[in-house]
Formats: sequence, structure tokens, C-alpha cells
Amino acid sequence: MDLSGTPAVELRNVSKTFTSAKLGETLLALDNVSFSIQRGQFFVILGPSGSGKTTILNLVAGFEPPTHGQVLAMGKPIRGPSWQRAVVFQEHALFPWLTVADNIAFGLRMKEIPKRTRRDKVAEYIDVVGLSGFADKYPKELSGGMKQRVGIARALAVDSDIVIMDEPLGALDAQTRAEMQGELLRILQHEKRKTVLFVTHSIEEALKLGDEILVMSARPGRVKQVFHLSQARPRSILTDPEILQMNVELHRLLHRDT
Amino acid sequence: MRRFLSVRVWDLTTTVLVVVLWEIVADYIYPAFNANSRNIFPPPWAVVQTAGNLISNGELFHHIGVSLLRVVVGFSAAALIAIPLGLSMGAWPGWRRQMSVVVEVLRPIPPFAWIPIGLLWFGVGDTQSIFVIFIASVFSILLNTVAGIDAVEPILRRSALSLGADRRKLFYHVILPAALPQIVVGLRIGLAFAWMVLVASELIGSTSGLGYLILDSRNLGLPSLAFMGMLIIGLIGYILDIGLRTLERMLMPWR
Repeated sequence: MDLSGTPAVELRNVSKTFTSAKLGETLLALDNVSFSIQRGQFFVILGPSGSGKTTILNLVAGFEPPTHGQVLAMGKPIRGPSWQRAVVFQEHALFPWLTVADNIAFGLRMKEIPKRTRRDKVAEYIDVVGLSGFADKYPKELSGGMKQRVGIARALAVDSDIVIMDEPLGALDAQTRAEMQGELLRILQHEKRKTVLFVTHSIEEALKLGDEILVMSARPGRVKQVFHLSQARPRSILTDPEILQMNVELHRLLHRDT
Repeated sequence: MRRFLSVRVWDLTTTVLVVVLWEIVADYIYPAFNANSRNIFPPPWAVVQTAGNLISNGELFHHIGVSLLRVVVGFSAAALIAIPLGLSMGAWPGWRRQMSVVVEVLRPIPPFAWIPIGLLWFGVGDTQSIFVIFIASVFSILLNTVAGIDAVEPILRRSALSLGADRRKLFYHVILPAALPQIVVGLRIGLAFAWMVLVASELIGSTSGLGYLILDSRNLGLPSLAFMGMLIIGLIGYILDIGLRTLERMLMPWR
């Protein structure tokens, strides 16, 4: 069977409710959400806090099951976490007891890739993310931006179909963040058609990076609108008239909510 | 800067002053009020003299050796049982619930309360001391091991799972190293407890060891012997903790 036409990720009428045992209240985090992510796409989910962005991410990563509906990856229902859907976390979540090289090698070790291949792959990714000379440092010795480079390298080295990024640049200062947006584009050029699911609440970041931007509304989380961008990257979000128009539109959509 | 037992030489000033003060009080001030002061509160040089005598006849090292052996055996046995037990309780919640009442009822019993039972079961001697030392250190190691596993950040588990770890690999490659710092804290507290009850158990149920030496000083009317015994107990406890802290740094260079 040829699966090349199957979307990388698909949500079909997905709802998710959380029940607070203490208050006995039910919270509807996602309400009948459907969308699909094509292979090789850089797919951005944009929304205010409380719009269920992180919930979608947890469903796709396989950390939590949906209450209703179906979540599919490569056409198959997601049953739990898998290296095929590697995650880059906002808080980077590096293993503090492992060096930069060992953090990047972690997924490869879990996959029981032979040591030699592993070493080559780690060296390659240390180079790709621009951390040459830092292989033997521990995470506590790195700056925030450098930690996130390790987090990105770690998720890419495992060679998954899909990389999930949960506001990966959200914890960085403005200057480092702008720099890392460019770096992320450069790093992803090294990857052949990897599907990226990228969660953010920054309109600017979404416009700079996304092939597609899914706008969520808050409480309950619903799909509000989807934007397509075909402009080549890196993009200037201040000169392209179409992007400028989208920028205005996105601000209007998001600020009505908050 | 020169270092001695991880302390800078300059930082020993207060220690030296305390000894000087001790000397002044014991040799000049107290004797002015009490003619019998020597037999109650010996000066530092008398303590050193006593130590010298016991070193030259080999008795001091015999008692230190006996005490250390008891601590090492009791403490190691506690660690060998408490760490795997704690890990298993951390890994399997059902097993932990099974164990929790037993542990929670036994834990608050002061280890000293076990000394009479130890004497009844094992009589006067090594085994009794080892038993009480085991009891004293086992709970802090056990509870800290469990707490260490509880404290593993959920995001690290998720991170490992999304990089392809299965349950077994998650345990060996994430939970164990993440819990290690807390386990070492448990070992340090356990060792401190072990050393504390050692003396109590030797005071009551032994004919050798540093605790016995202290008790013996009263029978002999030799307070310098008690002072010496106490100082050696303090000093060895200090050195043992430095040893564990060094081990901590070697095991966990990332901290």
C-alpha cells in the first residue's frame, strides 16, 4: 500500500476533557478539533493560553489519549509516545547527568544503534546546531539558547518522521529568540522533508516559520482559522504585503479572544 | 590556599581559639573554684596524653577498628537492602502501598528503642550493635530512595519516552540517575544515624568500641578518656561524611 498520500498527522473530531477530582469540575480543553498536517510541512499552531495548544501537542506526542475522536500519525492511531514523534520542550528537558554529546545520543541509544554510527551521528548534529567544542559540557554549563540547541539536536538525531516543538524558543530572551528563529530554519534545511509541528503564541514567529498556521480560540479550544503561506524562507514579515495582511488578520483574531 | 579536610587553614582559627579557651578554663579558671576540677574537667593536653598512652599500647586503634567494623557492616547491610527495596517501591505503586503501613509504623520508633531487643536476641557484642545500626540507617536510605524516584521530573520521563525509551530503559537511563542525588542524601543521613546509635549500643551492650571506652572512663574515674573518646567519635563521623561527599562528587560530576 502506498502511504505517501497519507497526512503525517491527522486529528479527526478530537475532544479532550479534564476532570478536576478536587473540584469535581470538568474542563473542555479541546472541542471537536479536526485538521491534518501534510508530510514535510512546517505546521504552526498559534493561540492564546488556554486554547489547548499544549493539549494537542500531548495528544500527538502520545502522552495523553483523546476523550473523543481519533489522532493518527502516518495513518495509524497513536497509542503512546514513540521516537517517531520526537519532542522539543520549552523547558528543554535535557538530562542533567549527561553531557551534550550523550544527550544528543540518547534517542540513538534507546534505539540500540551501534556505537560507531551513534558517534558519527552525534558529531554531525553537534556541528549542525553549532555546538562544536561543547560535546563534553554538562547542561548546567550552557546558556539557555545553547541548551535549546541541544534539545533540537537530540530530537532531530533520532531521525523521526515528525518533530514536535512546544514553544521551543519561548523561554529565551528576545534577542536570542530572534537569532534562534533563523538558526532553526538553517538547521531544518539539513533535514530532508521532516514534518514539524510547532506550537507558539508568537504571531511573528508563526509568520516567519510556518507553511501553515492554525489559529486556535480559547476555552474551549477550537480551530478558528487556517492560513497558508507559500513564501520562501527566511522571510521578511515587514515587507511582503500578503504577510503584512496576514499579520493584521492574526492580531485581530487573537486579540478578540484575550 | 592550603586545605586540610576540605577546610582552609585560615578557617581553623576559631577551632584553635576554642581549644585555647578550653585550656584556660580547665587549667586556670576552674581550678580556682574547685580543687577537684582536674578529675571533672580535664585540660586538652591531658586528653592528648591519654590518647598518646592508648595509641602506644595499641588499645585505641583496637576500639576504633571494632566500632568502624560494626558501622560498616550494619550500614552496608542497610544500604544493600534499602536501595533495591526503595527502588522497587518507587517503580511499583501497588507494592509501595503494600509496604507503606509497615514502613510508616516502624520508622518513627527511635533506633535506641531497639537496643534491649537487640541485646535479648543477640547478647552483648558485635551482632547487637550491627543490628541497631542497621535499623538506624535503613529507614532514611529507604525513604530518600523512594522520595528520589518521586521527585524525578515528569518532563524527563516524557522526554525519554518520546526518544524511544521503553519502561526498562526509562528506569535505568532516567529514573535511576535522576534519583541518585536523593539516594546519596539518604546514605549521608543514614551514616550519621548509624554513627550515633553505635555509641549508644556500645554504651549499653558491649565490652569494646568507642562507646565502651567512654563508659569505661567513668568506672576508671578518668574524664580525659571520655573527652578523648567523644572527640574521636566526632572526628571519625566528620571524616566519614567528607568521604561520602567526595563519593558524591565523583558519582555526580554534573551537579
